Amino acid sequence: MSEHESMLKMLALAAAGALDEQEQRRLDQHAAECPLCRRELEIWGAYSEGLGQLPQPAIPSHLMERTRARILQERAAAADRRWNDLMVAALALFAWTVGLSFWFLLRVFSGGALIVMGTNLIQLGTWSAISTVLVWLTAAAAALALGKRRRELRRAL
Amino acid sequence: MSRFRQEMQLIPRPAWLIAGLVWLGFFLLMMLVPFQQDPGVRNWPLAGKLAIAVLPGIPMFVLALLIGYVHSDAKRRGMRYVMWTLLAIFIPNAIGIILYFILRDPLLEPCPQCGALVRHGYAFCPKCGGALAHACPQCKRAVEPGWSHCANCGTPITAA
Repeated sequence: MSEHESMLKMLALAAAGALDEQEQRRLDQHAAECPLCRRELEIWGAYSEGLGQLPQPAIPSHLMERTRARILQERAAAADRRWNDLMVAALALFAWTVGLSFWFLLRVFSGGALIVMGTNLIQLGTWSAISTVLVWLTAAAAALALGKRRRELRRAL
Repeated sequence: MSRFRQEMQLIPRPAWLIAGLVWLGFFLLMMLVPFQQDPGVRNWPLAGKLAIAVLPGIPMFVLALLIGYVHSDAKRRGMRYVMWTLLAIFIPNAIGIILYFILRDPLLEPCPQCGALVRHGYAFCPKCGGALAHACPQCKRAVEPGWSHCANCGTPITAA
């Protein structure tokens, strides 16, 4: 990129007063020798001056606080969602651990045999099948009831 | 402070106490029952005996702490904490706790004007009436950034 092209890109920033001292000096030196950039700089300067004279909209009270609070809330909500996902994954593993622990404890305390209607419930296969069906039926019923209630609350909001 | 530590601090002291007692109860039971009932276990090496006494109580210890966490967390989120604590206790295999994490409400948010904690999604603070989010000019319900019409009453937002 030539010096002229890079100076052209800096003209708008110069008009907005956003250049540092060194950049401003370089631009002034270039504009003194380049009639095209000098003309462009004058146009940008006129725009900048005109924009400053436009009526400024009144900023609503508490806008800054509200915006800041909103940003913090969004960040907290995103962190909360990540934490939720992690916890649900960990708890799924934990649920299996608890299920196996219950089986183990029941097996120890019942002496290895808990006969109901001719079936030994303590056998690992039988216990797994019964507990899985019971747990998931209970969980599904609870999830349906809670989900329905949640939808009603959301609709009311 | 890490997120995990922050969340651990939510667990109330009574939950730690109950969890400790639950673990101790299982420890004592495991020390007494299997060693009395099963003569084979009595001949196990010490490490095996300790493992069979210590380990089974650990999931129950964690379960008690999680129930305490659900109680405190549901309370700070303005949810029905008694109901959630009971669900966490009575739905077996920690499924109640999993449901809690899936269905829990977002954290309460402080009003930027009066500092009162309010539920997520409100357009105005119930304490001071200050605006919390953009509201529909017609029905005054909260609207999200980028909406051109209110999702509740259909009023054009930009025309207001």
